[in-house]
Amino acid sequence: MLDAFFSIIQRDLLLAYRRRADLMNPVLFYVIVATLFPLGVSPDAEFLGRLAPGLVWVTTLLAALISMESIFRQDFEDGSIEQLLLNPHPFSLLILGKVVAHWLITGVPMLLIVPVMAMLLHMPVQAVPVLWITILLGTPILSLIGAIGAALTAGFRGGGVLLGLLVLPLYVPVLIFASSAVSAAADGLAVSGQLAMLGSGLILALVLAPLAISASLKISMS
Amino acid sequence: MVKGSNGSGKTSLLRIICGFSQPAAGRVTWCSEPIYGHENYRQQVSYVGHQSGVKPDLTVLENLVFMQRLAGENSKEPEIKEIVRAAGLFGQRNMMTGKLSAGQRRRLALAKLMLQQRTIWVLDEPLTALDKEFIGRFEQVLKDHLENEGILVVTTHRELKIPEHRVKRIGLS
Repeated sequence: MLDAFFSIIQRDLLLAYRRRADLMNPVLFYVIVATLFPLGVSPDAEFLGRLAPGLVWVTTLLAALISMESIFRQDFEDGSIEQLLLNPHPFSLLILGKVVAHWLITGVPMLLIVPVMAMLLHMPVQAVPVLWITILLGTPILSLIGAIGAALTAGFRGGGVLLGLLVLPLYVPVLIFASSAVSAAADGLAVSGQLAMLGSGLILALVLAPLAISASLKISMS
Repeated sequence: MVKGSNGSGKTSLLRIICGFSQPAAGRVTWCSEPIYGHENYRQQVSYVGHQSGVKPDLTVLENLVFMQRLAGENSKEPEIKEIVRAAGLFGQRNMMTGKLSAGQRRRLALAKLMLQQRTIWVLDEPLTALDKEFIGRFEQVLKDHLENEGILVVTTHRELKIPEHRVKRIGLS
């Protein structure tokens, strides 16, 4: 069973590598925001440092949302989602494999670039490790929740707007806890409560989201 | 063999048989049990629909290797190569599927049937875009499948050369 799980991750990573121009989109989005925001608002280091936690997290959230639309689109178009449904292994496990692959493709580049972005926005140095941990805990939740919306809208043309409407309200708790943790770290306060909430959210999403995603895909297919 | 004019519901019927959609009325059973949530049934069905179910950014061999590995079987390269040869795609085995013609993509989708070796083959217009030579070879594969106690549910606008005593015809209007 695990072989099938790892095979789908491997297949999706290979497909992403073959379409590597798309891989750069979230990273480019990050770089554009980090570059343009100081130009458009203020280059003042203290001002940017105060805004940085919320700004980085809003950017992360939007970058995750941009990448979500494509997670099941091609599988729907080429008929491979039907083949997964006829697979002897649990559908939700295979779908979890697809979401893990999606996170490796979109979340890991964010993890790599976010310290650079924090520096560009003059975030206090002591907040950067906490920011990195919130991205590590928060982006898988964004991928799992986003995949539910992507599964529901996969059968629609132009489902991107609908996806945003469905998913953004569910992203709000992640945004609140994550940016609050980073702000608290910047002010030298304790962050364990917010990180614990993000950790428990991740566990909850890991357990429940694959079931919701597979049910949503079955609805979209029928 | 399911026949009917365009829009008569042939594809919908096949999708219901595969368990992708639920019927508005009635139920589909396998060994007296409803097929929905019937794990044993799902493991016995192979479906080739209008979409080929193959990835355009993978090569012919990669597509078949991943199909086999996703089904939880170890990929046996000699066996896969033999199937690719039988499908007339050996020369294109390392070519991206997206660069194949529609007929070649169809052959690859049908090659999956030989790879998976399942009991129930549900095929929606399998002969679309195929040339005469391959249709002949594919009809032989279908005959062999039926002779090995396999089950075939197929929609087609062309007549398939399958022994008449093995065929049940259903007309939809």
